Amino acid sequence: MSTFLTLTVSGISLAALFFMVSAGLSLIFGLMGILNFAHGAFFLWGAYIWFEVFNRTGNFPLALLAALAAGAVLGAVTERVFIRPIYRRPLSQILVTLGLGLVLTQLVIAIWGVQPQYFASIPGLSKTWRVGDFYVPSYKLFVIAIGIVVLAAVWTLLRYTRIGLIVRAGVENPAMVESLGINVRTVFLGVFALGAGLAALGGAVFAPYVNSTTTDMGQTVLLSAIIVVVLGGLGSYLGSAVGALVIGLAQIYVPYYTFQLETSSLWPHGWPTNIDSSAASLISLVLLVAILLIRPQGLMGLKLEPGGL
Amino acid sequence: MSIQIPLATASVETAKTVLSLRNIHTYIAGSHILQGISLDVTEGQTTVLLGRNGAGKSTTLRTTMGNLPAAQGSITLDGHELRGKPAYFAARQGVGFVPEDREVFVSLTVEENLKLAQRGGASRGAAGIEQAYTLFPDLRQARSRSAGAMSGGQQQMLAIARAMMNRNRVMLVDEPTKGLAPVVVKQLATIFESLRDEGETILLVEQNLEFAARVGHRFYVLDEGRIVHGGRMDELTRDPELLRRYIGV
Repeated sequence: MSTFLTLTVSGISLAALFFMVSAGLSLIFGLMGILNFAHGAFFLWGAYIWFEVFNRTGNFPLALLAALAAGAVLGAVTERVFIRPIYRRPLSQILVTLGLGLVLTQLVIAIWGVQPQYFASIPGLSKTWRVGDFYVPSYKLFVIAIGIVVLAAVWTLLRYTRIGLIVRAGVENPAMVESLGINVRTVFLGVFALGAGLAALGGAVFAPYVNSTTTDMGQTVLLSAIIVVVLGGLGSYLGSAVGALVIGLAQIYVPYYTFQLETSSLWPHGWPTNIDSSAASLISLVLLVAILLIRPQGLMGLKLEPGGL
Repeated sequence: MSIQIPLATASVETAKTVLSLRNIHTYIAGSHILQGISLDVTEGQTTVLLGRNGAGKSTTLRTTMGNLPAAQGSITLDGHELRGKPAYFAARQGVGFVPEDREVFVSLTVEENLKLAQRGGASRGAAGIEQAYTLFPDLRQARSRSAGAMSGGQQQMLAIARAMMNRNRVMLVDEPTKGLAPVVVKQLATIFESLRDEGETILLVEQNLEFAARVGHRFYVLDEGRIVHGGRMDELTRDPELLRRYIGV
């Protein structure tokens, strides 16, 4: 039982991380029809900006905010310069966002090098509580809390503001929103910036979770995030929360219960090791195939009516 | 506008032309759909666009709105060019749009659909929503329900109410009666009659001739991407030969 609880806390905290990345990915896809392959690079940049600021100042909250802001700026510039000229050209979008992701990743390598970066422990968040065999690292609880704050903040934005109203309508039918006199493009820019900012925040929160930054962390997380988005329903905000929970828990439970790994292998790092990361990827892909066969619109996806763009 | 195409001379122009299309060509995926459309919509009148399926009626409205790009020609609203401008520009200049298949936002509530359409300066504010509810009492009842849960007729009324949330110079309405029960069509006819009597300017695409005859002042017939006839509505209903040739009645 205590093992199960330990795994569950790990799974939920992993879900919170996935959610921060997939929420933006899903909204960007839903609103603009773009599958943003550069999203993993925003995550990566968030981690390294966080590292740089934290390493220099030792101020953890400041480093998180810096990552969020840097991600938002990066996202806004990306939308304006690279995405805007290629709306309605899906093939170009795939090539441009893939290419941009590679360039941004190489830039990280050029600046910080290939070697992982290590840093001091996070003040006030390095403790692990233990009750019998039940381990709760305080940082995982912090990650879960951040995930809940982000979920609630963006949900409030979507539900109770005019911008949110436009985004929700735009996910369904952007051409009709335009026909009501609303310049959807300016909303696109804002959503892209927000999505990139959240991905960067995810990266920043993720680095202490695995105790280092590595240059491939963006790619790894992007794959899981894409699966989360498809599972939850493309364009569905709450869907990506549900999808993240399913994938987060599955990636922790399945390797443990199939290979009977020691809980210690999941702790304190909480990120699957080599053996269980292949099992984790496998279960994600199995879930992906299952959802595409059984319910292609995703768990909470809209069944769009013909006529919408 | 002083430029008049021969077809429009059938009726004597006294009132002002609000919307004017001249020699509009539109291509969709390489197909030449509109092949030189010219038409005028007169202030305070309902102008009906008739024609068979695939004649280009909806394309004409979408091109006017700016949802489809016109390759050639000119679209003017009160003398200002709309061609080449995005749809939100046309909407802000006062073009209201009720698209084919209604396209209400099914994931939003009825009231959210109406609120979304309200824009800063041109908006009628809370009074606008109140007015919509007065005109369509069904919508008031369903205000917090999801628009997707409403019947086709109610969705049509929502689409019309949504287009009326701002002060329009002209409303483009695409086949409002499509797929609706006769009793709903009757209701809609009453609504469009009252809009006409209130002096709304409307460009209406309609296949239901009886409906068109009841609410329209003037008509154009579209066939294979061209305007092939135009005139006063009562002239059309008196000419069975014309009806048979272009509309298939």
